[in-house]
Amino acid sequence: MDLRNGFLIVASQLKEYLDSANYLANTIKDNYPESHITLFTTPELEKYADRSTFDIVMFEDVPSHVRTKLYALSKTPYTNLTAYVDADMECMHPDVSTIWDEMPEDCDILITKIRPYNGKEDRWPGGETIPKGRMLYHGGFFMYRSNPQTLEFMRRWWVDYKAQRSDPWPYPEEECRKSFGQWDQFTFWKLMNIDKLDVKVDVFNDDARWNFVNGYFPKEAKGEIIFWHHTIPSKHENIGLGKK
Amino acid sequence: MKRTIVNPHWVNNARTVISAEFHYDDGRVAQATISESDVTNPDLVEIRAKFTDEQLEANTRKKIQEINAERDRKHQEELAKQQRKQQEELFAAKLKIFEIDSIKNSDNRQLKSKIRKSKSDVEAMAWASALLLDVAQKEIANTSE
Repeated sequence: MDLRNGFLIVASQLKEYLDSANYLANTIKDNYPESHITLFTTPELEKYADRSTFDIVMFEDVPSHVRTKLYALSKTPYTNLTAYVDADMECMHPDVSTIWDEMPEDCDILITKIRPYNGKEDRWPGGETIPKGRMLYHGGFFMYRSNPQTLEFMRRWWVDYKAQRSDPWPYPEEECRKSFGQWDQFTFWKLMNIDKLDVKVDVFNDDARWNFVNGYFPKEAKGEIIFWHHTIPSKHENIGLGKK
Repeated sequence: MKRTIVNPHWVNNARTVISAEFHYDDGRVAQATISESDVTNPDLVEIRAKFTDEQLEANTRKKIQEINAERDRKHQEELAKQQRKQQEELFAAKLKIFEIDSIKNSDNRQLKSKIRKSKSDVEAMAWASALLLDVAQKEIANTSE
């Protein structure tokens, strides 16, 4: 099987996420039957995976972590392009099949932007608000290339995120607040701006169409919505930036 | 006390009432609304001395734009709230439907897709009923064979 391009979905920690991942994968198949979809999940949840929909289910040695997605990114089975999709999303439009054409030639990571009015907010020590100005990107949906520099970026995203969740906080408090530690967007920002990893990031055309997060103003998407980003009905709150 | 007049503008189409902010040196800000007919009002006299008709018109246009933008923002917020509630309820209903073993384990992809593509919870439940009927009919057929 040629696995050049495909979707990657991650579900860990709660069965609700796996149920939602199954649902998401089926909505992608409804709209794009030829698509390839890979699931990363943990050994204890693997039995709930809908194997009729996923081409590959990876579960051995997959850690149960609040950001298992970061673990999975560098291990993508696709040789060209991977579209990472949060498990609490739903595909709603056949234009999903055009996703691989969206990637510009000179781009490594194609992503969507956070709408500040719809996200949690924090401040840098100088007072500048986040996400305004600096952490712009939404970590719930993006496409990336399987080239060495991008896969290294993804590997570092996981390693550095784990480091920032550890005690003590590994960065000077006067430069980066400890409260940033929960955000994988902070790690993304750090890799780009402090460590200056050599990857080119761009934003989807009509990006809200590709990642329409619950609470966005309807006028954000110019075309019909392709992926709707829900909140899983659960007692557990998702702490990701960009969600209330 | 010294004060600065900020953003005087017309508040009615007939251009007979002016509103302006008065910023005082001690930090206080007062909003005043004055009728053009009140010709001896010192606030009006000062506004008319310091601002031309063109400036008042420009401020009025800017104020109208601000009011319209705020109205649009509130409208979008209200739409987003309604849409969010509707979509979340629908999403939750569909996930619950797919928790039903007979539906989850059915190989009737066509009807399952109909449930997923439903635009309302009633439609999703109707397709779920159709799928359950299909499952039941297959079970009966298998039993009678």
